Amino acid sequence: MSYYHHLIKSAVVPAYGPLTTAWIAATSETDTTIIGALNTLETDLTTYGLTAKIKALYPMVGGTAAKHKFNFMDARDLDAAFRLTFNGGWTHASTGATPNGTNAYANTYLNPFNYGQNDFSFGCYLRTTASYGCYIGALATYRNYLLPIGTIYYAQINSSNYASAGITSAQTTKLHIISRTTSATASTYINGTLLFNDNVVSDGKTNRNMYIGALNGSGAEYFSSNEQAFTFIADGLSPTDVTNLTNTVQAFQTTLSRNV
Amino acid sequence: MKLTDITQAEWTTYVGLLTIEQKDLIVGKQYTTDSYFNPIQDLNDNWVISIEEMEYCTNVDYLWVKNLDLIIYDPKVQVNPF
Repeated sequence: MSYYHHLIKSAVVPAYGPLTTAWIAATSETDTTIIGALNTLETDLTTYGLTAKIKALYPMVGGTAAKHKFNFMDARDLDAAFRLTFNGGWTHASTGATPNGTNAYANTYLNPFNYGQNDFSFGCYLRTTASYGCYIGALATYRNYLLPIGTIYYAQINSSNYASAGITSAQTTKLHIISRTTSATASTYINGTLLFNDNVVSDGKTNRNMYIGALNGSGAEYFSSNEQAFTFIADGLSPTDVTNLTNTVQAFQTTLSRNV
Repeated sequence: MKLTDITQAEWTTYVGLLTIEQKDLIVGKQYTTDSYFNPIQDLNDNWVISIEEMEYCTNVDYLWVKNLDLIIYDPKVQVNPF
């Protein structure tokens, strides 16, 4: 290839990261704003050393279930790749995926039992307020969830005991994260700010797939109605990781003009 | 009451009423691409689906769900896990 030919080819074909490239192949996405936002997301995750920690990431872009279902970290159309299956009444839009709060949930096929008891985290970026229902979770003796019920916010990772903090309706938006990196406590954050350390010791791992939009307990229950515009499940995140991920997600949502 | 009789603001108030035979026909089936029916039972043990599943159904095998009778949704009481 000549020097000039190489220059021309470089100018015409954008170089996207491998995750973004795989996403485009899986979804046939052509919107350059979405693709650019995903590529920046991929770059930021790499810069902050988060790529290896995140097992499932649903950016909820493209406006359809056929695009929202894909795990950005492994965009194969397989349960083993943690591709979502949407059940019940969901509304899909360019702003995200909204469960109806009646019978909607998405199965991630990701089982916390296969990950570290003291090395686990999950969270979601919520665009609308609602003070009832599980954003993401599974419960089988041991608890993994982000679950507001009125003014009480239950949040837990890998413990048979529970803890809670107060929450206002206005706080049920933006990026919610819970992370456990020690046996002693799990930490819950809203948009990068620590809401509470639960000081509840981990005593076992939940052996049930994580659901989005509801709790996977006695079947799907505690249905949520908050619109989700980014959802992830990862190894435990340090406070610095939480700050970096929060900034990354804020930038991602701002690029897509759907930040709240 | 039918789907055409309500506004979008009323979608969370109503659900579509199924017979047991209709529930068995649609459970786990796609109502549109990558979206699956999830019939549930209400407080009175009626089998119901959401308005979204009726409205967004494009699967030609199940378009009859758009003609289901609507009832006001009365959810089962949730067992408190705390």
